[in-house]
Amino acid sequence: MTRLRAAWRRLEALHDAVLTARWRAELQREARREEEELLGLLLLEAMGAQSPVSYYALEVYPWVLSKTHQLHRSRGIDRLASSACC
Amino acid sequence: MPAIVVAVAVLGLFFLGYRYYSAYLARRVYGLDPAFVTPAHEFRDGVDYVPTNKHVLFGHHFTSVAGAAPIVGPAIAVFWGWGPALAWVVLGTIFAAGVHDFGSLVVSVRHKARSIGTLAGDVINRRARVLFLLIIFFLLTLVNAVFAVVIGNLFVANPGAVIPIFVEIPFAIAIGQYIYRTRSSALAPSLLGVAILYFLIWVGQQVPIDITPLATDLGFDRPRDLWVIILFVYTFFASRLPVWVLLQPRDYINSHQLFIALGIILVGMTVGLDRIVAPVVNDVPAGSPPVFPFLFITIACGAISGFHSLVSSGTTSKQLDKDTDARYVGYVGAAGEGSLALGSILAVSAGVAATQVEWRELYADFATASGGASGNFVTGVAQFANNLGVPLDLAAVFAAVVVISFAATTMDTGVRLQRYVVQEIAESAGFRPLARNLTLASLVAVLIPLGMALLPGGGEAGYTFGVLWQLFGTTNQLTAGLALAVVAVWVTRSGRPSLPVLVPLVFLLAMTSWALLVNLLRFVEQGQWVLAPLDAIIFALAVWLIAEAAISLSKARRAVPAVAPDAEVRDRT
Repeated sequence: MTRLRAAWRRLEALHDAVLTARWRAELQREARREEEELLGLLLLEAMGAQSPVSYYALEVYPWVLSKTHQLHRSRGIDRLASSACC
Repeated sequence: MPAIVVAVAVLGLFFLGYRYYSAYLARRVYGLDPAFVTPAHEFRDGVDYVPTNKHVLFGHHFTSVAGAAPIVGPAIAVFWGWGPALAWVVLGTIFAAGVHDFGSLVVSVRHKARSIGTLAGDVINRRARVLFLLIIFFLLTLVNAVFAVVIGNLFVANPGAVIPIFVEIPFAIAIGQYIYRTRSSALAPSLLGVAILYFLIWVGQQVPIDITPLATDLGFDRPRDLWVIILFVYTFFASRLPVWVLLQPRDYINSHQLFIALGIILVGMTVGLDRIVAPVVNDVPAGSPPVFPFLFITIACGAISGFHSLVSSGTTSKQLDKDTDARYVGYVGAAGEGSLALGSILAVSAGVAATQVEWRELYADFATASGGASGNFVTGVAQFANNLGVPLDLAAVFAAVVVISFAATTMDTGVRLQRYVVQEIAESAGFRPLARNLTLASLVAVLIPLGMALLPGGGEAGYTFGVLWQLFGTTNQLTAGLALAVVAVWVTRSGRPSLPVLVPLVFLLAMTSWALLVNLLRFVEQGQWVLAPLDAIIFALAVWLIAEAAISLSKARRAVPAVAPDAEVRDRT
């Protein structure tokens, strides 16, 4: 069973290597563009400007909080008093 | 003669071509160097530049170049008999496509993995870069127009294919979301996608969707035209989506289909021992296009295709681990495309009919042969699948879905690329509103091929689908001509023998120009005032290309290389 699973994993790796190679650069570019758009929107709000998509951006706040939580834990701070993440 | 005998003989010739001719090209013409540091290592970034195992890279290269074009072209060209079509596929693959695909990969690798368009500017001159953009513009316009017509015809002839093709879209989107969000391997989801597609083929066969009554109510003379409009509306939106949403997951499913279809063709004809019923050389009716030069522009992909140079120099060259791997990836990639063309020829000369009398009805004249080409391939593959126990009706829907899937993915990619080209041409011309506005550029990329696909034709005075296909073939051959010219100039400057590159270059440009000129005179005579200017423009591009190639080759011959050109490139960087 273990050998069968290992063989399946090898097949998965080969399959993905063959079929994702042509998309790799395009996917990276799209991921970068999404991140840049998010950064731009957050920057707008930080500068006090009204973000045109603030209502629609509500769904990214859990992600921002989760990232903040990971960040302060990685810096050795267990709880961050000023943040609602903990 | 049993089709399998021809298949084995041709595959044997491809093997000999790889074993001996590609070895000669590697050693004497391209001078491959195992010590050369490829761009994949020099600029390694984990995104574009990634050294990749040669078998994996071959798989990636082959699935990128294979599509519906090597199926449709040979299925039309059997009109002149299976002998000439097969001869051009075999000789073209071994002596032209192999040289072209392999050569464009090597030249790109030796020039920091630059694309063939940039290389045309670097190796030939700046004008060649503009020439390249214009040729690509017409190539993509005609690709999108002909594949819309191919899909429209197949939907009308095989209404069972409508449900599988359209219901596949939400499933592909769901698979894409799953892979993207879970970051899991694509193998199990894409196999599930193939299984769902095959279930949908059965559903489609039970519930065929025929839009002929709707098209008639809406006032369309040809029901296909309604499909063409639906397809372009869909493509306009699909090409705006990020690639991972639809194009990539659908490509996973299609790649599996490619290998399944090739397997069914080979195993089916072996089990059924189908005999070739088409004549070796067909006695074509008077007034038909002659075999010289039209065979050589009817079969582009499958014998030699300029589109391969875009893939070779676009993504493959950035991932080549060793310089010497170029021989395997480039040459065998061309042979893989030739094998697809071989499968198409055998499907329409053995599987499609039981007797020569039946076959002659399907290939009665050029208009019938070209209009029915994709349908004939579908019937032929259905017969091979039937040899394996699949019911004939179900097998026909399966084969139609294979061709439509390839053509639809080509259209998606084609419109996306055309948008980039339109923006680049607009930027060069200083027309900023078009260069900056994505929606406007997408509209231009959709409306021009839509207009071409809706052109009236087929009657006595009208054109046939084969004419539109031949115009696509000429632009594809011109792209190949430009890539071969770049390779020839580079080889000549290196002081190595350039004849193996010059012979296919001269032959290709001669056949293409000859065919364009003959068609131009005919279009003017018939008063085809849309096709005539289009043909004239493409002919002008061909003449321009011949002039640029001649000037650059003459300069390259006069120049004595003081240092090896590859070292020169490295020194400059």
